[in-house]
Amino acid sequence: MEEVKEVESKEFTGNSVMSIKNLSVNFKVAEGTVNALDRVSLDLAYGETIGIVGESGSGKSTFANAMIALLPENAVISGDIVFEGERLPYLSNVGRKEKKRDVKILDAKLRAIRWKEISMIFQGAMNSFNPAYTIGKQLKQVFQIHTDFDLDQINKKMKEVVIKAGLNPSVLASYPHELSGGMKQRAVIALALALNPKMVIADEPTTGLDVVVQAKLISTLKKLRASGDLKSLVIISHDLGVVSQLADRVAVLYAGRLMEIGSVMDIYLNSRNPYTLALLENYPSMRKARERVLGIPGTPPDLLNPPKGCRFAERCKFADSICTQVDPPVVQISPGHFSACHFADKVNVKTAEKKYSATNDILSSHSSGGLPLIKTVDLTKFFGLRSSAAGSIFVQAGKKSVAHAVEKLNIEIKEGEIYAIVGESGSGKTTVGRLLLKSIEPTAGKLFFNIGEDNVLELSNKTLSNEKIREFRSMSQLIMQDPYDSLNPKMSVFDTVAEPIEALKLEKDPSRIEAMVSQSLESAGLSPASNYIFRFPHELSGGERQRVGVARALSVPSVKFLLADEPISMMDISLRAHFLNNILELRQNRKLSIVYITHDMASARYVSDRMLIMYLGMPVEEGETESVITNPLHPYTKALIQAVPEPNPTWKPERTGIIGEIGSIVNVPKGCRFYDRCIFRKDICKDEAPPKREESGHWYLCHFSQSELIVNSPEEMERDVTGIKTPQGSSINVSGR
Amino acid sequence: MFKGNNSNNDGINIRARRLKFLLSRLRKSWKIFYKSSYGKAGFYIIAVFIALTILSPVLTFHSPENFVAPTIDRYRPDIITNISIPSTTGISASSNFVYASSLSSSEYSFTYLLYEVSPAGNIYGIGYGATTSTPVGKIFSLYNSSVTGKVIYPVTVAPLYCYATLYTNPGVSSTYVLVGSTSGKIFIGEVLWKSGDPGTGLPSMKEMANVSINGTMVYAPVLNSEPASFGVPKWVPFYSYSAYESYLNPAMVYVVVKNTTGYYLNAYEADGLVFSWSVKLPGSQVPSQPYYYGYDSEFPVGKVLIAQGNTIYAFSEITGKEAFNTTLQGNINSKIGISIPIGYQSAEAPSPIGFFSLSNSSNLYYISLNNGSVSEAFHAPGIIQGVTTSRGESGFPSYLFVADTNHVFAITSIMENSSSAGSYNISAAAGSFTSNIEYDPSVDEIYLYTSTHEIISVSISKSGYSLSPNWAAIGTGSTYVTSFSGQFLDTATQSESLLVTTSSNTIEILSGNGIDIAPLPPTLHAPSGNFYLFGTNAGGQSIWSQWIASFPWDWFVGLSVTAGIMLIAVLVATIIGYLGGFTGYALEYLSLAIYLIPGLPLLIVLASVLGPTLYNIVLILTIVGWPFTAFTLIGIARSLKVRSFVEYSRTSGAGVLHILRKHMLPNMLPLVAYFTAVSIGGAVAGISTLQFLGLAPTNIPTWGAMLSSLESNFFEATTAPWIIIPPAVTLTLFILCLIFVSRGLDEVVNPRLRRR
Repeated sequence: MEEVKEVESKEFTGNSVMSIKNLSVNFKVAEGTVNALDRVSLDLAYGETIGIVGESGSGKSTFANAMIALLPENAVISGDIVFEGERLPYLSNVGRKEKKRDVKILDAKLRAIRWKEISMIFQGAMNSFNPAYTIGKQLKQVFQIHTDFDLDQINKKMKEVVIKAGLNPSVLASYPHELSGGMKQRAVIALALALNPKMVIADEPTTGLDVVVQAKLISTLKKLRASGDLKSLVIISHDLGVVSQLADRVAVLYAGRLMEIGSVMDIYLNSRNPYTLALLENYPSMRKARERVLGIPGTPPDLLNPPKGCRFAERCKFADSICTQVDPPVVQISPGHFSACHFADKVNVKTAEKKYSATNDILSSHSSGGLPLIKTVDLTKFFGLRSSAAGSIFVQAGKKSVAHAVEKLNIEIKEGEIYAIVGESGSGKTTVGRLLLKSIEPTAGKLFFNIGEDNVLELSNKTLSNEKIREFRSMSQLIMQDPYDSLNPKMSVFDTVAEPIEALKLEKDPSRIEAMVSQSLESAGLSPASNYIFRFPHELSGGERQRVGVARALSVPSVKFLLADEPISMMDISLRAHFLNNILELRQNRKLSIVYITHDMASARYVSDRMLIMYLGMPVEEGETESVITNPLHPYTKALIQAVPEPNPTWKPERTGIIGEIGSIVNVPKGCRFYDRCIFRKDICKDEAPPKREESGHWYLCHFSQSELIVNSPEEMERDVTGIKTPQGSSINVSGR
Repeated sequence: MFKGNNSNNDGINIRARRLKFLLSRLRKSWKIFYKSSYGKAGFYIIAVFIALTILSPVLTFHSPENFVAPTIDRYRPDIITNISIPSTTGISASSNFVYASSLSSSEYSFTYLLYEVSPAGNIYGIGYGATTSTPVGKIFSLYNSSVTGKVIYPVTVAPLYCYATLYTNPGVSSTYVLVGSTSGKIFIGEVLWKSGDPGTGLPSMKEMANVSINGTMVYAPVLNSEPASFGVPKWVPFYSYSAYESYLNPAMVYVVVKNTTGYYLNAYEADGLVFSWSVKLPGSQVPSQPYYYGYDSEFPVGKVLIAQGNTIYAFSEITGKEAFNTTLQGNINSKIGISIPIGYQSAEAPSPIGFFSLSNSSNLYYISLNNGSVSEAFHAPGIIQGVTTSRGESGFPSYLFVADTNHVFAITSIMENSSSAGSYNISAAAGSFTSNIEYDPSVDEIYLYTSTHEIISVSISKSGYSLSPNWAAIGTGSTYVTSFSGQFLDTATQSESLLVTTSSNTIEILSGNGIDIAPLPPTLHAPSGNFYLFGTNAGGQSIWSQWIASFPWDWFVGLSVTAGIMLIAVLVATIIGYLGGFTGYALEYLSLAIYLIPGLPLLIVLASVLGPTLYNIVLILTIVGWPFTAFTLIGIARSLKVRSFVEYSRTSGAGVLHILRKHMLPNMLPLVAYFTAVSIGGAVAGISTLQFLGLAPTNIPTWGAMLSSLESNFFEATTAPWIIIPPAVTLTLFILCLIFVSRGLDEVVNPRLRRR
């Protein structure tokens, strides 16, 4: 990429806090050199927030680590990173041959800069607390190492930053395990802000959090930006929605190159780069409803041998022969908005929509008639908790604490239906899935499965014969969440896909098995199958693995029921659309019933016909997907839908309409499960279980009708989400929401 | 919908393709393994180990258990005294002129000094610690005999009782030194002691007489008194006998002289070197040196024998009258000369004989000293190098020992039909016999000097005339024995000793009794002909053989214990980790219990309860070894149990066995491989520990057993490193290479490691 010229930002004139010029990072590995970053230039002004967006493998994290001089030893770095007019010391002194003394000086210099001047919120940082120390002790260390405050000053400061991060000062005395994920992440933010650094790098700050918590965290960060506690921020995320909320400017990275940079409005509303547009088009947002998206075909290039010309060319729908030959020029679209594309003038939102979206919407195939394939009656699963073997013997049976994983589930799943189960983590979705697959036995209730010709099996019957169970197994399959963990690394694709056949002893003839395996690989989009059958999981990309997961579920021809448990949560945006379209196709071709378990409302809306919202083991709302999304009835559903991020700077997550985080399934509230988090709660909710209110197949559990749902008081509403002023830069009205 | 779709089958069986695929995987994995430096190093070391293991039966030259290095390899004469001769004196130890004045097997004379005479005729006495006046290494310059020409060696040092002229101290022997030079001068001097008491005070020498002869002297002058000097045959100490006053035949000095007219045998009285007689030898060839035969008698019965050409002449000792002459088939072997048993020299015998051989002949003859008749005594396979006999006081000597180049024979029944009763063969490594042999009747040993500068001591068993090697004296490093001067009675220790000179210009007095020098250092040329590549241990067992024989045993122990450990550990790990339940709990506590008992004491207790047989040790090591591996594998099993693919497998209807076989085992395999590698090393280390402590059978060669001698003598590591280094290094390498291999395997099974 050609050098990006100094960006003149309207809002932020003056010096840059960090200026990066032509930064290239190469990792030396056994097979050669991985070109992780290629000539990236970026300026970060004082007080500015830059979002860096890219899929996995785009070099985001390398970029972040380069900014704080944390790259591993095998990194070869060229270019400049200037922090406050001074080059980061390690760039000029790289190499193992350095004398020890030099390395010491270098470390000392970096120590002075790190955390005090530049701090970092690491990816998954909430798990980076030492479980043996209280949050306070770990926060205190930051001050003790970097400042010479006395104890009183430190205590005062600690309280300040903890309150700033939206936490109660009492957390200082807590151990990490006593805090929820969101609280830990806030504590990490407090840690990063402790020394009032000039610059904070947030690497995927909300990844792994539930949408509700994520929305709250975003608003906290916004608040901190507005109050000036967060000075300059670099926010790195694969989630366009999150970045759109926080960034003033956005840089889009692909395969180590900067594809487009510009103000948040330029990027989200007026992008001129095919890759950015592809990402935006494929982002599963509520706005798009059931418009069919096509995804981005192909996979990111192998950075061991980066392709000539534009690195996106291979997957780009606008690509021409020039793209594979010549590095794209950096075109200035408007002041501060640059795009690296040969066709930057031709590419825009309108041309992109034509290329990336199909015209037809997805049709719902929910049919109300016919016998259900699966039916549950008051299906309940409690998990007994035991801390030790001795405990399980000596504690009285009645006093055993149990986890209320699923309680009184009554659902019917029709043939050929995609049924979504949505909820935050801890809501019991996965347990439902395992119950439906008879992977675990229910504590109470009944589960029926229609094996055809009106022959209904009662799966909850413990005396079911092995024959029958095998029959059920041959009809039900599972697609798992984590494509990395769900494939046995020691088994070839062939063995993996053939496993259900072999396990169920459906076929003994190897050539027949091979035919079945090839067929299902091809129907899962892995063709030609012969390219794949003798590969190991580590030789496959993430998308290919997930497809192998699908193929495995389909290798048994008699499958009628497919359970997909968070199948896209680990996938990049460009692959999600593919997968979801694949699911839809399967449903159409093979008349499968699919239970789609997810925390992601948008994708549920995209694929499912009906959906069930669960909270703390209880189903709280069920209905036709469109009906639930457009007209959410339960307060929880309302909050969930509100919290789904939009790749649009005009979306405001300030009012999530929900309090705190999901509770514990061990000590559940006596009355309404949602009592603790409900902003509409009344006294009746505390002790009495709510009744089921139904409107034409769309029901919810609540004491109140929609008109009766009134927020008690403004304070209740603002209990933990304090309204913050809108940042100056984003007060522009954008139509098209 | 799947039926009939055979498009991808291509007519080739999927099984065959799968096999091909697996092979290509294997090849790929091998490439990765080989690419890692650990894996490569481990592979090569282990390849060497395996190769040595396979070759072990061939390379085990000696029985590791039963072989003991033969006595001759293990025993060396004790070095009593080591005297270094400073080069400044102009004399050197290595030129065969070391003499002592005492006579072996006689007790009437004590030796206080060793004598050296420089080629110019300077006479030195060298102390060897016999008395306080003669400390070890002290060199006394006694006298300059001022001989013209060069001194002819050997110089005679002898006690004489009958040196009448200056006889000072009746009844006590004095030591006389007789020197002859090439120019024909003969000198005789007496060693005097300042205090008058031999061995005390400063020694000095008084010239007794000297005489010049018209002509050149061919040999050193020969005294008819038994000389104490070595290298010449012994004959009767007739005139030195303590009863000197009885017959008083004079002591004579015999000299072979050459002048323009031919060769003469001259005789002088020792007393004053007064000329007595001279005989012209008839032939023109160089004669042999003269040999004296005679005994203490009223009449002058003694004879002087001299060989010229193929004739032996005998002359009367006093008159020079020819007694007889005998023509032989060839010239006599001058190296052996005429060997007369000492018994014939002290008293009259019915038919005294002397032994001789012809040059380059393998026949031994004897000559009647009465009439000169010659008979064959023995036929040896090789050319005869030396002969010695027992005293022969009551007839023929009991033993006759004949050495040819490679054998020593003990011969009995000389007169009837000479046959060998016992023999000793020199090993090829020790070279061949090169000089006359010496017999020490007091210990019944014979001493032989070899071409490789060894002195070999051979014992005679009196009952069976069998010869068995006793010890060998070989030098250390670059030092070797340059000459073997013979036996003498060491005054300081009152014991028969050997006197040798070495290449490092020292004189050594060796004890006739060997001492055990095992552990032997590594050598390719042991005196017995064996080779000990890694030396021997203190018991004389070959370290190399034990070491090489240990390979299969250590593999056996390592592999069998590991097989046991892995079997139990994988079984237990899957039961506890995957199946759980009551059995799981019970097993877990049991393994925890075994795990928590300290390993070594448990090993020791079990070893002593079950008894130290090999199979018990394998059993014990397995019992003690499995919990650690099992615990690690339990963790893996537990983590695998909750992995998505296992859950998937279960939900798709797979049975327990299917899951164990397809999911658990393959994923445990890297760790199992790692533990296999570690366990083999651990088991070998375990049995080594037990053997080191003496709890395991040490009749099985293992590296640990080889190290067990360290337990009783820690300093062996420094005194005999060849015992410790091979097993220690091998043990270390063995364990290391298995760890290397496991590291290499790690790279294969963990692609992540390769990445960064």
